[in-house]
Amino acid sequence: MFTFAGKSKAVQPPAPARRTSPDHASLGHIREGNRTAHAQRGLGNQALLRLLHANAGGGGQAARSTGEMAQGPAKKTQETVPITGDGGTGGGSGGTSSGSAAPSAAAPTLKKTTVSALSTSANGGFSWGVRWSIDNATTSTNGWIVQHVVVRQNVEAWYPPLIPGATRPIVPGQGSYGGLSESWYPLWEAWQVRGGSVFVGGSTSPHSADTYGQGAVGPNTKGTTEIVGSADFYPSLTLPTAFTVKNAAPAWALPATNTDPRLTGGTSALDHNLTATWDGVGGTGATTATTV
Amino acid sequence: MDTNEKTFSDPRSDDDAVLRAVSQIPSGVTDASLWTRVANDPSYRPFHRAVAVYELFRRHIATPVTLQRTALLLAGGAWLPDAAIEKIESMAGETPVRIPAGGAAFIVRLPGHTAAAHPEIAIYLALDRTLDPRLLRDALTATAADPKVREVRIMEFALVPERLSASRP
Repeated sequence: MFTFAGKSKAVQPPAPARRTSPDHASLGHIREGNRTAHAQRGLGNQALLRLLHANAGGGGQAARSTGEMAQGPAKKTQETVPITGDGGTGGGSGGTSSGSAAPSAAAPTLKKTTVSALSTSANGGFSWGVRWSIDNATTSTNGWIVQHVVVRQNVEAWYPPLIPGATRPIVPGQGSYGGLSESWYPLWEAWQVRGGSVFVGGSTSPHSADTYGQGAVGPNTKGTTEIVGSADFYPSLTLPTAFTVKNAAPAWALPATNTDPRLTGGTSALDHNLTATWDGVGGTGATTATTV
Repeated sequence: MDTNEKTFSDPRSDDDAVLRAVSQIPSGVTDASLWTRVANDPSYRPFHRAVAVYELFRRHIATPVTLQRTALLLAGGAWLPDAAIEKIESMAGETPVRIPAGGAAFIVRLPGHTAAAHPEIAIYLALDRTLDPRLLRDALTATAADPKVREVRIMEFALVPERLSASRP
Protein backbone atom coordinates (compact mmCIF):
# COMPACT_ATOMS: atom_id res chain seq x y z
CA MET A 1 0.00 0.00 0.00
CA PHE A 2 1.29 3.45 -0.83
CA THR A 3 -0.52 6.52 0.34
CA PHE A 4 -0.09 10.18 -0.28
CA ALA A 5 -1.42 12.95 1.86
CA GLY A 6 -3.80 14.15 -0.80
CA LYS A 7 -7.54 14.06 -0.63
CA SER A 8 -8.95 10.61 -1.12
CA LYS A 9 -10.96 10.01 -4.22
CA ALA A 10 -13.13 7.11 -5.13
CA VAL A 11 -12.09 4.93 -8.02
CA GLN A 12 -13.72 6.35 -11.08
CA PRO A 13 -14.63 4.89 -14.43
CA PRO A 14 -12.36 5.71 -17.33
CA ALA A 15 -12.82 9.14 -18.79
CA PRO A 16 -10.88 11.45 -21.04
CA ALA A 17 -8.50 13.88 -19.41
CA ARG A 18 -10.52 16.92 -18.43
CA ARG A 19 -9.50 20.54 -18.60
CA THR A 20 -11.50 23.71 -18.37
CA SER A 21 -8.78 26.25 -19.00
CA PRO A 22 -8.23 26.30 -22.75
CA ASP A 23 -4.96 28.19 -22.80
CA HIS A 24 -2.88 27.59 -25.83
CA ALA A 25 -0.07 25.70 -24.21
CA SER A 26 -2.33 23.03 -22.74
CA LEU A 27 -4.39 22.20 -25.78
CA GLY A 28 -1.87 19.70 -27.00
CA HIS A 29 -2.15 17.85 -23.71
CA ILE A 30 -5.90 17.73 -23.88
CA ARG A 31 -5.95 16.47 -27.39
CA GLU A 32 -3.30 13.91 -26.69
CA GLY A 33 -5.04 12.75 -23.55
CA ASN A 34 -8.36 12.38 -25.31
CA ARG A 35 -6.78 10.61 -28.22
CA THR A 36 -5.12 8.14 -25.91
CA ALA A 37 -8.26 7.54 -23.92
CA HIS A 38 -10.16 6.86 -27.12
CA ALA A 39 -7.42 4.57 -28.27
CA GLN A 40 -7.61 2.65 -25.02
CA ARG A 41 -11.29 2.08 -25.38
CA GLY A 42 -11.09 1.15 -29.01
CA LEU A 43 -7.95 -0.89 -29.23
CA GLY A 44 -7.30 -2.45 -25.88
CA ASN A 45 -4.12 -2.07 -23.93
CA GLN A 46 -1.89 -4.34 -25.96
CA ALA A 47 -2.40 -2.26 -29.07
CA LEU A 48 -2.17 0.97 -27.11
CA LEU A 49 1.10 -0.09 -25.52
CA ARG A 50 2.51 -0.80 -28.96
CA LEU A 51 1.42 2.66 -30.08
CA LEU A 52 3.06 4.27 -27.08
CA HIS A 53 6.24 2.31 -27.75
CA ALA A 54 6.30 3.52 -31.29
CA ASN A 55 5.85 7.09 -30.14
CA ALA A 56 8.46 6.76 -27.45
CA GLY A 57 11.00 5.09 -29.69
CA GLY A 58 11.09 2.62 -28.15
CA GLY A 59 15.18 -12.88 -8.56
CA GLY A 60 16.23 -10.80 -6.02
CA GLN A 61 14.75 -11.48 -2.68
CA ALA A 62 13.48 -9.55 0.29
CA ALA A 63 12.92 -10.62 3.86
CA ARG A 64 10.08 -8.77 5.51
CA SER A 65 10.00 -8.02 9.21
CA THR A 66 6.95 -8.77 11.23
CA GLY A 67 4.96 -6.09 12.92
CA GLU A 68 1.47 -4.80 13.33
CA MET A 69 0.43 -2.72 10.40
CA ALA A 70 -1.90 0.21 10.39
CA GLN A 71 -3.64 -0.88 7.25
CA GLY A 72 -5.57 1.72 5.38
CA PRO A 73 -9.16 1.16 4.38
CA ALA A 74 -9.30 -1.73 1.99
CA LYS A 75 -11.70 -1.14 -0.82
CA LYS A 76 -12.65 -4.45 -2.28
CA THR A 77 -13.33 -3.32 -5.79
CA GLN A 78 -13.02 -6.40 -7.90
CA GLU A 79 -12.10 -5.49 -11.40
CA THR A 80 -12.07 -8.51 -13.60
CA VAL A 81 -11.72 -7.04 -17.05
CA PRO A 82 -12.71 -9.10 -20.04
CA ILE A 83 -10.35 -9.16 -22.97
CA THR A 84 -11.31 -6.81 -25.76
CA GLY A 85 -9.91 -6.29 -29.21
CA ASP A 86 -6.40 -7.66 -29.42
CA GLY A 87 -5.93 -7.63 -25.70
CA GLY A 88 -4.68 -11.19 -25.72
CA THR A 89 -1.15 -12.33 -25.25
CA GLY A 90 0.33 -11.94 -28.65
CA GLY A 91 -0.90 -15.19 -30.02
CA GLY A 92 0.30 -17.29 -27.13
CA SER A 93 -1.11 -20.68 -26.46
CA GLY A 94 -3.63 -20.97 -23.73
CA GLY A 95 -4.91 -17.43 -24.23
CA THR A 96 -8.58 -16.72 -24.06
CA SER A 97 -8.68 -13.98 -26.62
CA SER A 98 -9.26 -16.07 -29.69
CA GLY A 99 -12.90 -16.59 -28.92
CA SER A 100 -12.74 -20.02 -30.44
CA ALA A 101 -12.42 -21.91 -27.20
CA ALA A 102 -13.89 -20.71 -23.95
CA PRO A 103 -11.73 -21.38 -20.90
CA SER A 104 -12.79 -24.18 -18.69
CA ALA A 105 -14.43 -23.23 -15.41
CA ALA A 106 -11.33 -24.28 -13.54
CA ALA A 107 -8.82 -22.34 -15.65
CA PRO A 108 -6.72 -20.04 -13.46
CA THR A 109 -7.16 -16.41 -14.46
CA LEU A 110 -5.76 -13.14 -13.18
CA LYS A 111 -7.88 -10.86 -11.01
CA LYS A 112 -7.23 -7.26 -9.98
CA THR A 113 -8.63 -5.80 -6.76
CA THR A 114 -8.19 -2.25 -5.52
CA VAL A 115 -6.71 -2.38 -2.01
CA SER A 116 -5.56 1.22 -1.65
CA ALA A 117 -8.09 3.66 -3.03
CA LEU A 118 -6.92 6.25 -5.51
CA SER A 119 -5.68 9.36 -3.73
CA THR A 120 -4.26 12.53 -5.22
CA SER A 121 -2.13 15.43 -4.06
CA ALA A 122 -1.20 18.75 -5.60
CA ASN A 123 0.77 19.13 -8.80
CA GLY A 124 0.50 15.62 -10.15
CA GLY A 125 0.73 13.51 -7.01
CA PHE A 126 -1.25 10.29 -6.86
CA SER A 127 -1.30 6.79 -5.44
CA TRP A 128 -3.39 3.75 -6.26
CA GLY A 129 -2.81 0.21 -5.09
CA VAL A 130 -4.21 -2.98 -6.57
CA ARG A 131 -3.67 -6.57 -5.57
CA TRP A 132 -3.24 -9.40 -8.02
CA SER A 133 -4.75 -12.77 -7.33
CA ILE A 134 -5.49 -15.90 -9.29
CA ASP A 135 -9.07 -17.00 -9.69
CA ASN A 136 -9.61 -20.75 -9.71
CA ALA A 137 -6.18 -21.29 -8.22
CA THR A 138 -5.24 -24.54 -6.53
CA THR A 139 -2.20 -25.56 -4.54
CA SER A 140 -0.68 -26.71 -7.79
CA THR A 141 -1.10 -23.36 -9.54
CA ASN A 142 2.35 -21.94 -10.29
CA GLY A 143 3.77 -19.43 -12.69
CA TRP A 144 4.36 -15.70 -12.99
CA ILE A 145 2.19 -12.62 -13.33
CA VAL A 146 3.93 -10.25 -15.71
CA GLN A 147 2.82 -6.68 -16.23
CA HIS A 148 3.86 -4.51 -19.13
CA VAL A 149 3.86 -0.81 -18.19
CA VAL A 150 4.36 2.35 -20.21
CA VAL A 151 4.30 5.90 -18.83
CA ARG A 152 3.65 8.99 -20.87
CA GLN A 153 4.22 12.46 -19.44
CA ASN A 154 2.94 15.63 -21.05
CA VAL A 155 3.99 18.29 -18.58
CA GLU A 156 4.84 21.97 -18.88
CA ALA A 157 6.04 24.46 -16.31
CA TRP A 158 6.37 28.13 -15.69
CA TYR A 159 9.77 29.23 -14.49
CA PRO A 160 11.77 32.44 -14.59
CA PRO A 161 12.34 34.30 -16.85
CA LEU A 162 9.12 33.22 -18.61
CA ILE A 163 6.36 35.78 -18.40
CA PRO A 164 3.58 34.89 -15.95
CA GLY A 165 1.32 32.22 -17.41
CA ALA A 166 3.75 31.15 -20.13
CA THR A 167 5.06 27.60 -19.94
CA ARG A 168 7.65 25.35 -21.51
CA PRO A 169 7.77 21.54 -21.65
CA ILE A 170 9.69 19.90 -18.82
CA VAL A 171 10.77 16.33 -18.10
CA PRO A 172 9.34 14.86 -14.88
CA GLY A 173 11.89 12.92 -12.89
CA GLN A 174 14.78 15.07 -14.09
CA GLY A 175 16.54 17.91 -12.35
CA SER A 176 14.40 19.49 -9.69
CA TYR A 177 11.20 17.94 -11.04
CA GLY A 178 9.70 14.90 -9.37
CA GLY A 179 7.51 12.20 -10.84
CA LEU A 180 7.81 9.07 -12.90
CA SER A 181 10.50 9.26 -15.55
CA GLU A 182 9.51 8.16 -19.05
CA SER A 183 13.04 6.80 -19.43
CA TRP A 184 12.19 3.92 -17.08
CA TYR A 185 9.76 2.49 -19.62
CA PRO A 186 8.68 0.31 -21.31
CA LEU A 187 8.91 -2.02 -18.36
CA TRP A 188 7.95 -5.63 -17.74
CA GLU A 189 7.71 -6.57 -14.05
CA ALA A 190 6.84 -9.86 -12.40
CA TRP A 191 5.24 -11.49 -9.38
CA GLN A 192 5.66 -15.20 -8.78
CA VAL A 193 2.67 -17.43 -8.16
CA ARG A 194 3.45 -20.41 -5.97
CA GLY A 195 0.78 -22.81 -4.81
CA GLY A 196 -1.88 -20.38 -5.94
CA SER A 197 -0.50 -17.49 -3.85
CA VAL A 198 1.20 -14.37 -5.20
CA PHE A 199 4.59 -13.15 -3.96
CA VAL A 200 6.72 -10.03 -4.36
CA GLY A 201 8.84 -11.25 -7.24
CA GLY A 202 10.55 -14.50 -6.37
CA SER A 203 10.81 -13.62 -2.68
CA THR A 204 8.99 -15.10 0.29
CA SER A 205 7.16 -11.79 0.92
CA PRO A 206 3.47 -12.14 0.16
CA HIS A 207 2.24 -9.75 -2.50
CA SER A 208 0.43 -6.83 -0.93
CA ALA A 209 -0.14 -4.15 -3.54
CA ASP A 210 1.02 -3.16 -6.99
CA THR A 211 1.16 0.60 -6.58
CA TYR A 212 1.06 3.34 -9.17
CA GLY A 213 2.48 6.29 -7.26
CA GLN A 214 3.97 9.64 -8.11
CA GLY A 215 4.91 12.50 -5.80
CA ALA A 216 4.33 16.08 -6.84
CA VAL A 217 6.06 16.88 -10.13
CA GLY A 218 6.68 20.37 -8.82
CA PRO A 219 5.16 23.78 -8.24
CA ASN A 220 4.08 25.80 -11.28
CA THR A 221 3.61 22.71 -13.42
CA LYS A 222 0.63 21.45 -15.34
CA GLY A 223 -0.09 18.51 -17.53
CA THR A 224 -0.99 14.86 -17.70
CA THR A 225 0.62 11.66 -16.51
CA GLU A 226 -0.63 8.48 -18.14
CA ILE A 227 0.27 5.00 -16.95
CA VAL A 228 -0.83 2.20 -19.21
CA GLY A 229 -0.39 -1.31 -17.91
CA SER A 230 -1.40 -4.75 -19.07
CA ALA A 231 -0.91 -7.75 -16.79
CA ASP A 232 -1.30 -11.43 -17.48
CA PHE A 233 -0.76 -14.74 -15.72
CA TYR A 234 1.61 -17.20 -17.34
CA PRO A 235 1.23 -20.66 -15.82
CA SER A 236 4.42 -22.65 -15.31
CA LEU A 237 6.54 -19.90 -16.82
CA THR A 238 10.26 -19.89 -16.09
CA LEU A 239 11.04 -16.21 -15.75
CA PRO A 240 13.66 -15.13 -18.31
CA THR A 241 17.00 -14.17 -16.81
CA ALA A 242 16.62 -10.66 -18.22
CA PHE A 243 14.32 -9.95 -15.30
CA THR A 244 16.41 -8.58 -12.44
CA VAL A 245 15.68 -6.87 -9.14
CA LYS A 246 17.22 -3.40 -8.92
CA ASN A 247 15.64 -2.18 -5.69
CA ALA A 248 15.12 1.10 -7.48
CA ALA A 249 12.29 3.04 -9.06
CA PRO A 250 9.92 2.22 -10.51
CA ALA A 251 9.64 -1.55 -9.91
CA TRP A 252 11.59 -1.57 -6.61
CA ALA A 253 11.58 -5.14 -5.25
CA LEU A 254 10.12 -6.74 -8.37
CA PRO A 255 12.21 -8.45 -11.01
CA ALA A 256 11.88 -6.32 -14.11
CA THR A 257 13.27 -5.77 -17.58
CA ASN A 258 13.11 -3.05 -20.18
CA THR A 259 13.38 -5.54 -23.01
CA ASP A 260 10.26 -7.21 -24.39
CA PRO A 261 10.40 -10.80 -23.10
CA ARG A 262 7.93 -11.86 -25.82
CA LEU A 263 6.02 -14.09 -23.47
CA THR A 264 3.30 -16.39 -24.71
CA GLY A 265 0.75 -18.51 -22.93
CA GLY A 266 -0.99 -15.89 -20.83
CA THR A 267 -4.42 -16.79 -19.59
CA SER A 268 -6.25 -13.46 -19.59
CA ALA A 269 -4.76 -9.98 -19.86
CA LEU A 270 -6.04 -7.24 -17.58
CA ASP A 271 -5.83 -3.51 -18.18
CA HIS A 272 -4.29 -1.45 -15.38
CA ASN A 273 -4.32 2.23 -16.26
CA LEU A 274 -4.21 5.58 -14.53
CA THR A 275 -4.43 9.10 -15.94
CA ALA A 276 -3.73 12.14 -13.77
CA THR A 277 -4.22 15.77 -14.79
CA TRP A 278 -3.39 19.00 -12.99
CA ASP A 279 -2.80 22.70 -13.52
CA GLY A 280 -0.55 24.41 -11.04
CA VAL A 281 0.14 27.31 -13.38
CA GLY A 282 -3.24 28.87 -14.05
CA GLY A 283 -5.16 26.74 -11.58
CA THR A 284 -4.91 25.49 -8.03
CA GLY A 285 -2.66 22.56 -8.83
CA ALA A 286 -5.30 20.09 -7.66
CA THR A 287 -4.86 16.74 -9.36
CA THR A 288 -7.73 14.76 -10.82
CA ALA A 289 -7.24 11.17 -11.83
CA THR A 290 -9.10 8.29 -13.41
CA THR A 291 -8.33 4.61 -13.25
CA VAL A 292 -9.13 1.49 -15.20
CA MET B 1 33.20 -15.22 22.26
CA ASP B 2 33.08 -18.44 20.26
CA THR B 3 35.07 -19.28 17.16
CA ASN B 4 32.49 -17.99 14.74
CA GLU B 5 32.10 -14.71 16.61
CA LYS B 6 35.89 -14.36 16.62
CA THR B 7 36.02 -14.97 12.88
CA PHE B 8 33.29 -12.44 12.30
CA SER B 9 35.03 -9.86 14.50
CA ASP B 10 38.36 -10.29 12.76
CA PRO B 11 38.83 -7.50 10.17
CA ARG B 12 41.18 -9.80 8.25
CA SER B 13 38.44 -12.37 7.57
CA ASP B 14 37.48 -12.41 3.91
CA ASP B 15 33.91 -12.03 2.71
CA ASP B 16 33.14 -15.73 2.51
CA ALA B 17 34.66 -16.38 5.93
CA VAL B 18 32.51 -13.61 7.36
CA LEU B 19 29.37 -15.02 5.76
CA ARG B 20 30.14 -18.59 6.80
CA ALA B 21 30.77 -17.46 10.37
CA VAL B 22 27.53 -15.49 10.49
CA SER B 23 25.58 -18.47 9.21
CA GLN B 24 26.95 -20.55 12.10
CA ILE B 25 25.97 -18.09 14.81
CA PRO B 26 22.55 -19.12 16.12
CA SER B 27 19.80 -16.53 16.34
CA GLY B 28 19.00 -15.15 19.75
CA VAL B 29 22.36 -15.83 21.36
CA THR B 30 24.30 -12.72 20.44
CA ASP B 31 24.50 -9.32 22.02
CA ALA B 32 23.77 -6.42 19.67
CA SER B 33 27.24 -5.08 20.40
CA LEU B 34 28.77 -7.94 18.39
CA TRP B 35 27.25 -6.37 15.30
CA THR B 36 27.39 -2.65 16.18
CA ARG B 37 31.09 -2.88 17.00
CA VAL B 38 31.85 -3.95 13.43
CA ALA B 39 29.16 -1.81 11.78
CA ASN B 40 30.44 1.36 13.42
CA ASP B 41 34.15 0.74 12.93
CA PRO B 42 35.52 2.28 9.70
CA SER B 43 38.60 0.05 9.87
CA TYR B 44 36.46 -2.87 8.60
CA ARG B 45 35.73 -3.24 4.89
CA PRO B 46 32.39 -1.77 3.70
CA PHE B 47 30.97 -5.23 2.93
CA HIS B 48 31.95 -6.53 6.36
CA ARG B 49 30.23 -3.55 7.97
CA ALA B 50 27.15 -4.01 5.77
CA VAL B 51 26.84 -7.64 6.88
CA ALA B 52 27.00 -6.44 10.47
CA VAL B 53 24.17 -3.97 9.88
CA TYR B 54 22.14 -6.65 8.11
CA GLU B 55 22.54 -9.08 11.02
CA LEU B 56 21.84 -6.36 13.58
CA PHE B 57 18.49 -5.63 11.96
CA ARG B 58 17.68 -9.29 11.35
CA ARG B 59 18.43 -10.40 14.89
CA HIS B 60 17.73 -7.41 17.12
CA ILE B 61 15.14 -5.06 15.61
CA ALA B 62 11.54 -5.98 16.32
CA THR B 63 8.78 -3.85 14.82
CA PRO B 64 7.00 -1.61 15.52
CA VAL B 65 9.85 0.34 17.06
CA THR B 66 10.52 4.05 17.43
CA LEU B 67 13.42 5.69 15.67
CA GLN B 68 14.74 6.65 19.10
CA ARG B 69 14.81 3.01 20.22
CA THR B 70 16.34 1.99 16.90
CA ALA B 71 19.05 4.64 17.30
CA LEU B 72 19.92 3.16 20.68
CA LEU B 73 20.32 -0.27 19.12
CA LEU B 74 22.46 1.17 16.33
CA ALA B 75 24.75 2.70 18.96
CA GLY B 76 25.48 5.82 16.97
CA GLY B 77 25.06 4.38 13.50
CA ALA B 78 28.48 5.51 12.32
CA TRP B 79 27.82 3.63 9.06
CA LEU B 80 24.79 5.78 8.19
CA PRO B 81 26.69 8.77 6.73
CA ASP B 82 28.03 6.39 4.07
CA ALA B 83 24.63 4.85 3.35
CA ALA B 84 22.22 6.23 0.75
CA ILE B 85 18.74 6.90 2.10
CA GLU B 86 15.99 7.41 -0.45
CA LYS B 87 12.33 8.13 0.09
CA ILE B 88 10.16 5.93 -2.12
CA GLU B 89 7.68 8.13 -3.95
CA SER B 90 7.65 7.28 -7.62
CA MET B 91 6.69 3.74 -8.34
CA ALA B 92 4.85 1.39 -10.61
CA GLY B 93 5.69 -1.76 -8.76
CA GLU B 94 6.00 -3.03 -5.21
CA THR B 95 8.19 -2.82 -2.15
CA PRO B 96 8.49 -5.67 0.33
CA VAL B 97 7.06 -3.48 3.09
CA ARG B 98 3.49 -2.33 3.47
CA ILE B 99 3.20 1.41 3.97
CA PRO B 100 0.67 2.48 6.57
CA ALA B 101 -1.82 5.20 5.77
CA GLY B 102 -0.11 8.56 6.33
CA GLY B 103 3.27 6.90 6.42
CA ALA B 104 6.16 6.60 4.02
CA ALA B 105 8.65 4.06 2.74
CA PHE B 106 12.41 4.42 2.45
CA ILE B 107 15.27 2.36 1.17
CA VAL B 108 18.64 2.45 2.92
CA ARG B 109 21.42 1.23 0.64
CA LEU B 110 24.49 0.13 2.51
CA PRO B 111 27.97 0.86 1.19
CA GLY B 112 28.69 -1.79 -1.38
CA HIS B 113 31.26 -4.33 -2.31
CA THR B 114 33.52 -3.03 -5.01
CA ALA B 115 34.13 -6.47 -6.50
CA ALA B 116 30.36 -7.05 -6.76
CA ALA B 117 30.83 -10.65 -5.69
CA HIS B 118 27.75 -10.24 -3.52
CA PRO B 119 24.50 -8.40 -4.17
CA GLU B 120 23.93 -4.94 -2.79
CA ILE B 121 22.59 -5.03 0.74
CA ALA B 122 19.63 -2.75 1.41
CA ILE B 123 16.95 -2.22 4.00
CA TYR B 124 13.40 -1.16 3.20
CA LEU B 125 11.69 0.77 6.00
CA ALA B 126 8.00 1.57 6.38
CA LEU B 127 7.39 4.45 8.80
CA ASP B 128 4.10 5.50 10.33
CA ARG B 129 4.75 9.12 9.35
CA THR B 130 6.22 10.76 6.32
CA LEU B 131 9.63 12.26 6.91
CA ASP B 132 12.44 13.95 5.06
CA PRO B 133 15.27 11.45 4.43
CA ARG B 134 17.72 13.82 6.14
CA LEU B 135 15.61 13.79 9.29
CA LEU B 136 15.42 10.00 9.17
CA ARG B 137 19.22 9.83 9.08
CA ASP B 138 19.43 12.29 11.96
CA ALA B 139 16.97 10.26 14.00
CA LEU B 140 18.80 7.00 13.40
CA THR B 141 22.10 8.59 14.44
CA ALA B 142 20.45 10.04 17.56
CA THR B 143 21.04 13.59 16.40
CA ALA B 144 17.46 14.60 15.61
CA ALA B 145 16.54 17.73 17.48
CA ASP B 146 12.79 17.33 17.18
CA PRO B 147 11.39 14.87 19.74
CA LYS B 148 8.43 14.19 17.44
CA VAL B 149 10.81 12.85 14.83
CA ARG B 150 12.38 10.53 17.37
CA GLU B 151 8.94 9.09 18.13
CA VAL B 152 8.21 8.14 14.52
CA ARG B 153 7.88 4.37 14.36
CA ILE B 154 9.31 1.81 11.98
CA MET B 155 6.25 -0.34 11.33
CA GLU B 156 7.98 -2.88 9.17
CA PHE B 157 11.33 -3.46 7.55
CA ALA B 158 12.65 -5.84 4.95
CA LEU B 159 16.18 -6.89 4.19
CA VAL B 160 17.47 -7.48 0.70
CA PRO B 161 18.66 -9.99 -0.20
CA GLU B 162 16.57 -12.31 1.93
CA ARG B 163 19.60 -14.42 2.74
CA LEU B 164 23.31 -13.82 2.74
CA SER B 165 25.35 -16.78 1.64
CA ALA B 166 28.98 -17.40 0.95
CA SER B 167 29.97 -17.79 -2.68
CA ARG B 168 32.18 -20.73 -1.73
CA PRO B 169 31.17 -23.54 0.64
